[in-house]
Amino acid sequence: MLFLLYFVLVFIVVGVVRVGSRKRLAGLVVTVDDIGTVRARRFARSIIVRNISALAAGGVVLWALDLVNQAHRGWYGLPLMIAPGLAATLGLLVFALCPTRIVTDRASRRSADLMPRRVWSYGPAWGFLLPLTAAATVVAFAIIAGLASSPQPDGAFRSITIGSSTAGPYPGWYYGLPLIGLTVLLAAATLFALGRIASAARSEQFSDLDRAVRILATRVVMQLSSGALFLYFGGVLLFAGWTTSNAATVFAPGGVALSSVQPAAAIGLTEVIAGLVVALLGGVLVILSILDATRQPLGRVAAVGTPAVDAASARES
Amino acid sequence: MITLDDEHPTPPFEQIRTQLADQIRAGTLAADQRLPSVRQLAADLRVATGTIARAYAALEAAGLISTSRGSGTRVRADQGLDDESRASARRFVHALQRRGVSLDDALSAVRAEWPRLP
Repeated sequence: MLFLLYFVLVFIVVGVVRVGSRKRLAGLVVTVDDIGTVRARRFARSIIVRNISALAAGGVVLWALDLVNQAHRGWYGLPLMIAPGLAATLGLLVFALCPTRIVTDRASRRSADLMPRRVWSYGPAWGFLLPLTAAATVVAFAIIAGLASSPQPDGAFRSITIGSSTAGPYPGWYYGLPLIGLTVLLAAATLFALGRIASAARSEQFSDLDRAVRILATRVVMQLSSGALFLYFGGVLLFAGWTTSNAATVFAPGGVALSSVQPAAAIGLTEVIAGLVVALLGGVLVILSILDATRQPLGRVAAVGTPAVDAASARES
Repeated sequence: MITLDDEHPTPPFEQIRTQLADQIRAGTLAADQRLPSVRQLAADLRVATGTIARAYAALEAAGLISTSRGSGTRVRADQGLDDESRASARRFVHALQRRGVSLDDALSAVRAEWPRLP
């Protein structure tokens, strides 16, 4: 029931965001002259194939880590916790390493722009600062949670003790250290993918299409990496908050809460609420990245002197 | 913008170096302006990264650009010609273009005349 509500909320927010950004997205649909249609369409198709391959690779990792989690119950859900981040990391690596050359033949006369293309050249500043801040917050939270954690009888730091009450699982060092490593890995994969987008050869013939593809690719990379980060951070906040609330609550023998230790109980509740919001945001970003990844950048083919026709219905000659 | 022509007798490295040097001296590339990375320029011009690196090294040796690990490759300050010199060059070009003289011939004329004047 909770999952159903989560998905309904995610799709409502995605719908609202898409309607709100309709005009901006329409600007990323590019028109080319009919002379370059075949080449432009081939390039656009290679972009879609690259994006879908990256998403598929991420999906395979998710599925594999779910199997690992089921097979190793003694790992206490660790594979499931790192699954979104690891899936996004592999997806980004596939994205970055898939070649998508817009021009295959080498003209005898070629030109180059002298404006440097940087990893942040194709997106708004907040689009890079927000996930960077979130990544720093994840690392800070993992360290704080690690310091607040207490060991289980097996020695692994995955409990929290408040007063005389101990509860688990809690994102102590057992979950925190892989979480920090994963966040660093995800940030590195994101930078690598953005670097590849910026440094790929520029097309002289299709400069508008080239720019639209770079903007779309940057959106996909940032939405996917931020979405994965928010998904696993949301999950960690949720179970940290839930466990903290349990440890801070004094229960009667029938399971009825008698009293709670403050401010631990309030912190736990705050973490649960923050976790729900962050996980929702993560889901929204992942769905938006899938929608942008499967988006056709080549919208219409404008023949000189004839009315424009849809690229999808135009035949290759 | 710089252009590379495979059919031109000048080697690619020299074409790149000359065009960048001309743009710096003409003030088209302003002081402290950051230039694209070696990899970006090599990808766009479809040449080996070594070709661009060699052109950048020659420009650096001539004092026109500076490269540092942190801030990349930048145009050095005070490398452009002054306004009066540029205006003189413009007048010279206009005069020769009216006569139908090509760029190569114009440059040859300048090179021939340069040592004759004190």
